[in-house]
Amino acid sequence: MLKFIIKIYFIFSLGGLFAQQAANDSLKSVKKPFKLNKFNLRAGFDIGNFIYGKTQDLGRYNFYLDSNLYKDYYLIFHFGNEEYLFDNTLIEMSTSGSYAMLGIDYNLYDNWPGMDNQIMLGFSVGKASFSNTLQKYRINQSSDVFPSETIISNKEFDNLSATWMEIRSAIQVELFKNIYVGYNISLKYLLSDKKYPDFELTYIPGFRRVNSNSSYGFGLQYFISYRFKSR
Amino acid sequence: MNYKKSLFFVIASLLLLLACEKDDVCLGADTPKMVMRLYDFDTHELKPASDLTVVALPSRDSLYKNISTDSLAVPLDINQDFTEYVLTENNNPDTLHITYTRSLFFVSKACGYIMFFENLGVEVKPDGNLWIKDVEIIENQIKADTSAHVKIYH
Repeated sequence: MLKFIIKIYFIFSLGGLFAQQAANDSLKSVKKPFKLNKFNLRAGFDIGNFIYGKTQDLGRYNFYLDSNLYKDYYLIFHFGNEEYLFDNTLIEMSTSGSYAMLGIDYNLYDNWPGMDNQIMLGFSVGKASFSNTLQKYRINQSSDVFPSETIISNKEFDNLSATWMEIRSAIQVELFKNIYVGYNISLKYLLSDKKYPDFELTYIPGFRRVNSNSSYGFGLQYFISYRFKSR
Repeated sequence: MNYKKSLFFVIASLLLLLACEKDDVCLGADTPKMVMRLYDFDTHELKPASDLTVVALPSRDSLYKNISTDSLAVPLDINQDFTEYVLTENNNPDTLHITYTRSLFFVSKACGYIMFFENLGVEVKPDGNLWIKDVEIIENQIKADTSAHVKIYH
C-alpha cells in the first residue's frame, strides 16, 4: 500500500528528478556495442479526453503504442478519432476525423532496479484527415430591429487535412505490474492545412483547437496503459 | 517542501489549459448599416433635420426619436430584399422604400457571417407633402458603414 501511495505521489512530483543521475554516470564509461532492447510493446488509451468527450456527447478516442527500442529511446505512435463542436452562438460547426502521429520519446528518468517509470521528452509529426459541417449560423448584426434567424445549413467541408509537429513532455508510472498511468503535455505547431475559401478551421483531430491568430496548439492527455510483454 | 512543487505544477497545468480556451470572441465586423447624410436641397450643403424620428415598417420601435442630426445609420432587413423606413420631420412623415440584393459574407469563426447589400435603390413614396425633396445614391454597395451611401436633400 505504501508503495502504491509513493507511486501516486511520484506522478505529481517533478521535484528531484535528476537527483539520482550523478551516481549512475560513472558506471557508463564502458562503451557497449549497439544492441536493440528485447521486444516490448505498450498500448495506452487517453481516458481523460474520453471522459470529457462523454460529458459533451462527443466521441474522443485517442490511443498510443510505444516500444523501448534502444537504450532510453522509445518509438511512439499516436492515433485516434475525435469529434468536436464549435458553438459561439453565431456559428455552430462540428468537426470529426482521424489522425496518426509518429515520433520518438526519450526517457530522462533513471529507475531503481525493478522499477519502470518514465519522464519523457518527445518529438512527433502528425497528420489528420477530417471533415467539418457547418450546422447552423445566425447573421451577425449589432442591431435587433430585424431579427437574425438561425439558419440550418448542414454545409459540408470535407476532405480536409493538416500536418503538424509537436514537442511533448510525458510522465508514465507503473502503478501495478504492467499497468501504467501518466499524462503528456504537448506544444504543437501547424505546418500545413488544406482548407476552403469562406471557411476557418476550429479543430483538427490530434492537433486540437486551432487558434485564429497563430499556428501553435496545445494538448493535454491522461493515459492509462498496458505493457503486453514485460522486459 | 515537495507538495508545493506539486501544487505549482498542477496549477501551472490548469493555467495552460485555461490560456488555450476561447479565441472565438468577435472583435469588429458585423452587418453594415446604411448611412444617410442630410443636405440642403438648394445649397447642397450638410443641413440637419430637426425633430426627426425614424421608424422601420411594419411599425417597430423608433431608431431615432425627436433628434436633430445630419447623419443617420439604419440597419437593413437581412431577411428580405427591401426595407421601408418612415422619416418624420416636424410631424411630416415621409416613407423611404429601399431595395437591394443581399449576399452572405463569411468573416471568421469568431465573427461568423454578415450580410452585404448591393444594387441599392432608394425612393420616396409620394404623399403630397414631402419634406424630402430628392434622394441620391452615392455608393450602391453597402459593405461598410464608415462612409455615406445615400444623400437626402431637404
